[in-house]
Amino acid sequence: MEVLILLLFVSLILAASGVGFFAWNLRQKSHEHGDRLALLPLDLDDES
Amino acid sequence: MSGTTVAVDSREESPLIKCLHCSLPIGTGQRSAFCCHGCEAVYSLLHEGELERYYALRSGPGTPVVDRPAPSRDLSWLVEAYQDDSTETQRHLRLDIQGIHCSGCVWVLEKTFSRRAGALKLMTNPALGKIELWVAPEFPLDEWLYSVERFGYRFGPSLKDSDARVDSLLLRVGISIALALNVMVLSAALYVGLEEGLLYRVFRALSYGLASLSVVVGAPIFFRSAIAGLRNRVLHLDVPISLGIALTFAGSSWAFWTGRDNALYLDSVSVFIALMLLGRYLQERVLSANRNRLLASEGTEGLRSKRLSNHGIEVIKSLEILSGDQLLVAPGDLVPVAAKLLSPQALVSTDWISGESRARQHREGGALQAGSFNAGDQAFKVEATTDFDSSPLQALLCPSSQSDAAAHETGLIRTISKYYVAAVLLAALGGFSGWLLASGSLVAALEVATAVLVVSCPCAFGIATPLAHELVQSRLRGKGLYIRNGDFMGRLNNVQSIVFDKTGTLTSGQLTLAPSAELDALTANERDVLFTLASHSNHPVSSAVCRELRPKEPTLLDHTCVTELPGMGMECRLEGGRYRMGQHRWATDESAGEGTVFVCDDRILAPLSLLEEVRSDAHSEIKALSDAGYKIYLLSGDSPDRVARLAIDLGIEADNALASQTPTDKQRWLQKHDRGDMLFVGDGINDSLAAKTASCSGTPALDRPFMASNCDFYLGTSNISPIRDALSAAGTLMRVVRRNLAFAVIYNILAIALAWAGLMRPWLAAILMPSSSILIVLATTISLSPRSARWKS
Repeated sequence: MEVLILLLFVSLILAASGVGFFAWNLRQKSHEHGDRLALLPLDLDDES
Repeated sequence: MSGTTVAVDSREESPLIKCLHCSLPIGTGQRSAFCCHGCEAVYSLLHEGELERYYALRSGPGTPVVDRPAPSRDLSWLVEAYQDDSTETQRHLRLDIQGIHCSGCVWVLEKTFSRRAGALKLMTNPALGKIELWVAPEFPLDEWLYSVERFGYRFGPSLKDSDARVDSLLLRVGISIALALNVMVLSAALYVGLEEGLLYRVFRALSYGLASLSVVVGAPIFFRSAIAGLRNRVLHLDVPISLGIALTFAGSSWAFWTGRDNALYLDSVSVFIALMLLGRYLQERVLSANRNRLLASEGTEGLRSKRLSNHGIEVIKSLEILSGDQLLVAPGDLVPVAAKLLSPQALVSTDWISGESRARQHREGGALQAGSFNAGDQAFKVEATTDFDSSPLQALLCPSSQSDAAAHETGLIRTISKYYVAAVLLAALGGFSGWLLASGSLVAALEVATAVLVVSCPCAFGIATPLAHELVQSRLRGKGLYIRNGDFMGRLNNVQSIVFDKTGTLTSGQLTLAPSAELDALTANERDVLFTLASHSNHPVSSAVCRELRPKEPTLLDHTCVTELPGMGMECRLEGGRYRMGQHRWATDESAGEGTVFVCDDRILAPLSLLEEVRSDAHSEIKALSDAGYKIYLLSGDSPDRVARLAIDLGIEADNALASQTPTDKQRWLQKHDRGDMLFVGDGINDSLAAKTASCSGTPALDRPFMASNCDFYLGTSNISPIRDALSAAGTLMRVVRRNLAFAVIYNILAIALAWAGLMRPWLAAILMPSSSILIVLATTISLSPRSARWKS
């Protein structure tokens, strides 16, 4: 039974981390310049 | 353009020709492989600059280059773009940009930027339409901006900012979905048999805690909106949503604290909030993207003028102009106040302010209207005869207030909300009273009332309606029509009459050379001479001549012999002959004669009369709209003969074509005739009052942010066909919304019947609510998918 509570605790931590990462990503405004970020691999193509 | 292939849309029954640059359908009757001159020019430029990869990187159709900025337009506003952290060695600027929409655009910007000396870093934000750049002092900023604008983009001062409301909504959506999924997992354990012990208590408490958090995070969006609506006596959809959240959570809280698991609907509350927020986000996302696509309107704040003073020329805000100030008006510049001409002559266009399509020649001392443009190729001096405070531009450039937009809100949602709230409250009260009287148990009565409130949440309707709007708005974006106001489609469905402006709306605003046998009969040498003469002037006639002759690949002859007599025309002596292009009387040395002619030694070779270029699909669209039962009106500031000619050409009834209309005439006409069933489409500043007054309004003008900011939609294409698509889509959308409403009513009647019978349980609600939502979302998506026959116009 105790292990279930531990698992529950760990899953909640994971869920909270997910929400935290989502909020951080929103603050970075990555979703506003996704088109630019999508082009970054092409820069490597051009350099090679 | 030789050697090019024409793209064909194979999905349509009849082959649909698409523009080689923007991939949007070309209007019927167009012979070119491009939808407009702009697209053709940009297509060539991209190939010349080895930037063809743009087409591979672009996702979906592009934007037609309907109206490219003037090649050397005034960039005096740039001084305000420099950021405070700029240093001697590194300059940091922030600018708004219009026209970027995909990875291809970002790539073109970055490629052209990095090719120049002194380029350090460029950050492009297509979602907001902003760029931020860091450059060394040697970076040729003006040259780069002009070169990018040649591709059809347009720069402006940094006015737009991230939409905090949409950002906050996205954050709340993410958190609410995470909370709802966790509450669902925990609740599932309770439903399948976890009834006692430590784990049961932990799961139950955790479910309640997370559901409470979900209410704290998600509910304020709806509560605030519902309270604001009630204060204004408007019952919109947020009222039943808020009531559903509040009462369901209150009932579940009562069940939690009294140990009544039969009335514990925590997962239903969380899922309901997450779905409602998702629906709201979908709706806001497209509208926000459509608003950010254009430059923001500064109104009168954005106007700049060149004032002449003892120290030379100073660039000032037009707001600062006082009567008596002397102003220099460069080619393409605006005369912001009523003024007296000080220069010997000036070619002035008033199409922006009066809708008159032809430019007029003014002499020294002549009065110029506020809102006129310098249409010539020479700067001229004027003296302001009024302060800017008295300029009519003040009223015309004033943005419409939010309350104006709210006044147009569709009545359908209000009616639904009113009856929905009353019906739900009555059902809950009925269930409570019935069970109290029948069983005498207050607890059982409260359980039934809670069950009624939970199952009657407008979940299916609340998610499907925003989704339907989002699908329609996205589809219309693909066709080149960008909606700015959320309630527009509801209002558009009531439209019975469409009122068009003439110049720049039904016509492209460009003048073309009238076809003539004499023009066709010119020899190759005469064509070369005419082209050489026309190339030396940017007078509208010369521009039209160049456009007409360019496909015949004329040769530019020795330009040193060309002289211009301002106000009269162009002259050159070649191979012993004296050629003139200009006013009939001057060119032929005769005392009589009107119009513009091309002559050789007083012998007229060809008359050069101009026609307004009607938009390529105007004829077919006006006919199709008339056939569909819409009344078509033409309101124009142009002269009666030109308006009557266009009305006959387009098949508009003579009584419905009104000429010489001032901005206030147009406004008064709409006030008198608009019964909530008129759509006004116009492009000039003289249309802004009418656009604010009409029930629905749209504009094809992308180069004038103030106009789009006053309208419900703007067109990003050279065609007007998206208007008919939108009218058709509005009908389809309303049918889907009504069908969803019928589904919601049937679902609620069945669910309330189960609740009244005392059969509703939290696990059953957890199955019923998401199932009904998924079903209605699927039905909505299929109904509005491109393959649906009803959707096609």
